[in-house]
Amino acid sequence: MYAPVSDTQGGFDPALFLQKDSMTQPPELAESGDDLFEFQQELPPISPLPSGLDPRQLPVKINSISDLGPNPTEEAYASALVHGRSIHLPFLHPRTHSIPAGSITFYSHHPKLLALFTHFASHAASSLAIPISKVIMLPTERSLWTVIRAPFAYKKSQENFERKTHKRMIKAWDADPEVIDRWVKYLEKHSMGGVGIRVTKWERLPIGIGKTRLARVKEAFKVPVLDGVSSADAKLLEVRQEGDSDANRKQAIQALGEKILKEELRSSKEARSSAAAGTGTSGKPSTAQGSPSNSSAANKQDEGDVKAKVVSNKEIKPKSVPGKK
Amino acid sequence: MGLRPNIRVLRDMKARQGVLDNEVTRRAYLFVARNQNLPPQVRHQAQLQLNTFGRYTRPTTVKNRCYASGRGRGIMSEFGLCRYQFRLKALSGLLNGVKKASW
Repeated sequence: MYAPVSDTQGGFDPALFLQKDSMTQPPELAESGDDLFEFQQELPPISPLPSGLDPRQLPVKINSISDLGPNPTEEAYASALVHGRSIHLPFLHPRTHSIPAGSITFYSHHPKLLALFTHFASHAASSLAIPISKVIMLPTERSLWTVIRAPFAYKKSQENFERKTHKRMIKAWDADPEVIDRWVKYLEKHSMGGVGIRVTKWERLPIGIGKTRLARVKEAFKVPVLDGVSSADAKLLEVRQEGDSDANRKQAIQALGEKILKEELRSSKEARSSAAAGTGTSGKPSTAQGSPSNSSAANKQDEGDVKAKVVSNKEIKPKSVPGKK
Repeated sequence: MGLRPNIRVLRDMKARQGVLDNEVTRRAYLFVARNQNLPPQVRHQAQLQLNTFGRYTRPTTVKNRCYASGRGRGIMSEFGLCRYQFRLKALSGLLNGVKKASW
């Protein structure tokens, strides 16, 4: 039997322990809400939401999404309390400019998988605020095979097999290409077995993109001009690389004209210098050496004379080249 | 190689490999032989060279065979199976999306 301990050397008195105090008794329940607060707080005035809904009336309890009306705002849709919320269609954001941004086509052999995945995809797009269409039903493709049942003979008893490919489509407008990419990446991450997707995207590029790209590509393909090549030849090469066109032909003629002019001037200079050299040297070695030197000198002189003659016949002035200013 | 390779399957495999190896050469000779702008002697020579190729280099010797049974007839290219094997697999549900048709 238990005997009460009289001495308090252990520091434990059961009587004290069993005493009733605030710790052991339940608290007094407040009778009304006013007792909970010592003072009444002045609440700020509640302004209605931009859509016109009163926050104190939210959430709006409705029986189905169609109770919201033909064109509900996103706020009204989001604040509505309806049974089976996740199975309803997502809020379709209104298109701002109706500019196509992309479209996703879903393929499957089983329509129920498609229903689930398209529902998921449309909710994802709605969360990203991409204006999308409702799920579009595309015509089903069907392949049929008729095979003989038996492995050998018995042509008259056959069996039909088919494979149906069901297709759905969701179109998207107006969103940035980055947002569309994100949506697609999200779908790829959470893709479903048995459903394939095909994404078509439209991107907009600035006006004049063709010219800038062409110029860039041409630069990349240009053959670098070597050091030994003269500037006229280099220009000709450059012009030839660009191909055939009216403007190019003009440039080609100009370049060719410049080249001919340069060559002519050079040849005329050479002729003059050789003529001068020929007249200078022909007098000295004529007596000293035999016929070869004489002949060579004579040849040189003849050449010089011929060149001089040729030079004199030709006009030293530059020819008028068509297309040159 | 399929589940039941017979000698014809092996021959077909050899033919496919040979065609792969010789395709470029054959096409070159064929181009020369069929080219109207080349002199006839050259074309004739090219044609003779073409005739020297063996049977395991000609694309006409390649024939689809059933990968399950090795059968040469009644093949459906989409599945690589002969008609009976296709039926067996379809009824077992081993072919994706294929089911008994009824309408």
